[in-house]
Amino acid sequence: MIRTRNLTKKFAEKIAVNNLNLQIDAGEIYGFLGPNGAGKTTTIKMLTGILYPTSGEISIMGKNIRKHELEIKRAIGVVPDEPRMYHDLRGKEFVSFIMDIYDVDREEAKKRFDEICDVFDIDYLDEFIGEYSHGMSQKLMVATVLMRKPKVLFLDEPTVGLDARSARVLKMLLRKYADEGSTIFMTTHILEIAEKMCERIGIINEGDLIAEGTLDELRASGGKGEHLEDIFLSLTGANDEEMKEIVEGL
Amino acid sequence: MRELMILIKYKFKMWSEKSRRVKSRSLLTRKKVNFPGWLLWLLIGGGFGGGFVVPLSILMSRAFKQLNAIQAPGTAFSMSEIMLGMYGFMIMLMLLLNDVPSIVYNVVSENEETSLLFSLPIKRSVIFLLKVFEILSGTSLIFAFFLPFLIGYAISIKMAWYLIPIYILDVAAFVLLIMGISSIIAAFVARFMSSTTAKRLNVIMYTMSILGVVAIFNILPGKMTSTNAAGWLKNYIGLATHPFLPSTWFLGAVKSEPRYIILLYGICALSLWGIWQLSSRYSTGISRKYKKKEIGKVSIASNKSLFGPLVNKDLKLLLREGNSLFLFIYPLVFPLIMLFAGSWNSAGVMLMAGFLSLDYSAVISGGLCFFEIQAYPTSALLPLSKKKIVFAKAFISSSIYTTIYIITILVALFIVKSGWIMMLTVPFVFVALFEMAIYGGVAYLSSPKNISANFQSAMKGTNGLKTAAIGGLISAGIVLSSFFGIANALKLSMFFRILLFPTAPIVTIIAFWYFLKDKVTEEHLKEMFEKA
Repeated sequence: MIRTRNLTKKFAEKIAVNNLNLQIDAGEIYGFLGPNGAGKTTTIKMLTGILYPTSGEISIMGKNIRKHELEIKRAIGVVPDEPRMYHDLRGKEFVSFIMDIYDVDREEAKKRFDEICDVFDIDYLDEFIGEYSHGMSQKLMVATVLMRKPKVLFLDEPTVGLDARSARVLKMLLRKYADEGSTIFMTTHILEIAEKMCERIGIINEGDLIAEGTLDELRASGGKGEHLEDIFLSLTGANDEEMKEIVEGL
Repeated sequence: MRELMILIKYKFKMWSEKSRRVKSRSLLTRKKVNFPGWLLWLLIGGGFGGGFVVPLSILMSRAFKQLNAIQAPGTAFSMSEIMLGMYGFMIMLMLLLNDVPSIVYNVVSENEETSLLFSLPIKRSVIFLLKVFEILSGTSLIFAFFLPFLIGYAISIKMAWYLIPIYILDVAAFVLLIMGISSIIAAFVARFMSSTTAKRLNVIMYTMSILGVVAIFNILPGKMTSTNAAGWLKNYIGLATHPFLPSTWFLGAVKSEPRYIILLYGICALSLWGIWQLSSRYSTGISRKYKKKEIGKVSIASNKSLFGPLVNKDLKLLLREGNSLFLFIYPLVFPLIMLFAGSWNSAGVMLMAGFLSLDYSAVISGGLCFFEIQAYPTSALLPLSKKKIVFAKAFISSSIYTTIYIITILVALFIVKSGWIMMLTVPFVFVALFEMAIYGGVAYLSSPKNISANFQSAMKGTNGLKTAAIGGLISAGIVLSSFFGIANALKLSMFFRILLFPTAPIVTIIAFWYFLKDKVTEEHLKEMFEKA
């Protein structure tokens, strides 16, 4: 479903993503992890057609993103790291705009949207988006993406700003969609979520994919520790002793 | 007090830093500008004082002198004082209309700055006073425009030097009184008004004030210096001397009438006490009032229509943007004021209407692109080409200004009874407006981040100058050449008429498209979106 070949993005002299090769199949939940500034969001932006790569190829659902950009955008769903929308639209107007732009079956989408609103407690659609809190915007963004039930989902830090109940509901929904054949590509800093939800995990650091696979495979590729957090920290070069020393000194 | 002074100091620092940043990125070609903030304020103040306040004060003093000797019938005031009372009333009205929504939006509703300030160890009253100071600074522009009238009056009556501090005190008490009344009304209104409504109202009121100031400066000086100024003023004696109006108390205090002095200073003190009471209980939080609706009961109406969801969405956003009101009204009202006042002929009016429409077409289109950046990256994820996104905005903008252009021709026709043939220029003007709107969108997207932070900001600095220059050239190339090409005013041969109309408009449109074509490729626009 998602394939990249030698994907590279440079910003002036800085290489944000370096020769990234990914292959993610249908029904898989793939966790894409990395420290701040590692290249996660840049990768998602390239995979979703927001940014053009400097070099390399991307194929989503078997189609090259350069040649079929709009077709792919219509088929995928993306929850960006910041849920920014048009401040001067009401929530319901934004939902209607999305339904029309994606040309979805309104009846079916509305039914699904109402159900999602029910589980996420979205009862503020008459208000202007500019008056929403971060969590409210995030829930609306998630709802407008999930109502289309896309075949491929990209989520950049999807649980940030969500309350515990909404975060739990989102995780359950993602599991359900994956079981039904959707591909899910997500980034998160909450490693417990990645550990519990993702079949495979890719770790990117300074633009390079430094490890990829299941937990066992990550351990086999040099990651030390029982939990994903330990493995992640050891792979990204964080020194536990050094951190302890700094904390004690504070 | 120390805390307040620190906060005000940093406020000034931020304002001057911001204007320096903007200049250093655009007009001054990215050179670092190193001059202190106070010097910037001094230059602005000096420029405004020397270029505007001083000459107009002298002009006004002459007008006031003419009216000093004439007594207003049935009152203890002279006609010049009636004039001053009228200005006082207008200042009061404008400040009230501006301050109330401004206080609701900037002071009472929650925003990033107040949230930060509340987290610091600063008294609530200090935060409130800081915000009130900001509002005062914001509306001081309106007050500044009336300074020449206040100074002109003082010069005309040869006010004794020892009375000047009292006069200044009267003015200060009057302004503080209005501020106090505005704060109390705002505290009441905030119970019913959402922060979005307050924000919109705030911009609309500011726009109306600017239009008011333009109208006043175009109409009143003429009326005041006319031979029948006293006769005209007689109609407004009741308004200028109404005993319940604070503007009358101010006028009475200037005349040293005891009851008015007591009223002005007494009620001013009361309103300051009111501000103090409000400040000690200051808290934000009107922005979180939601009318909860049962889930599933919200109807999601379709946006599908003749122009599609993208145009519908853009239109909604545009009509909800307070700044757009000014941009719609001004190109229509300004040329017509000039036509009514007899200052310009039809050619001048059409040229100005064309120029303003072209300029604002670019501003509106750029402003609409701002909404896409506001919603970025969501807007970039939509299955729409960037070209379609920009062209939809250009379509809206050019349609609006073509309509305004047609209305201007029709009204001008109604007044001067000739020139219907200018309707022939409409198709050319529509195409030019469309091109100009595309230019506006591209110019906005290519602006540096810090000058493209709001709806109108894209057309400031270099972009603004370029847009105005292009708008002027196209307006001359299409409107003016057509006017002379088709009008009978010039006794031109048929060859020159054909050369001017339609050759000149067609050449102008083609030349502009040639200039634009490389900027509107999908690749280039996408790159612009990424950078913006």
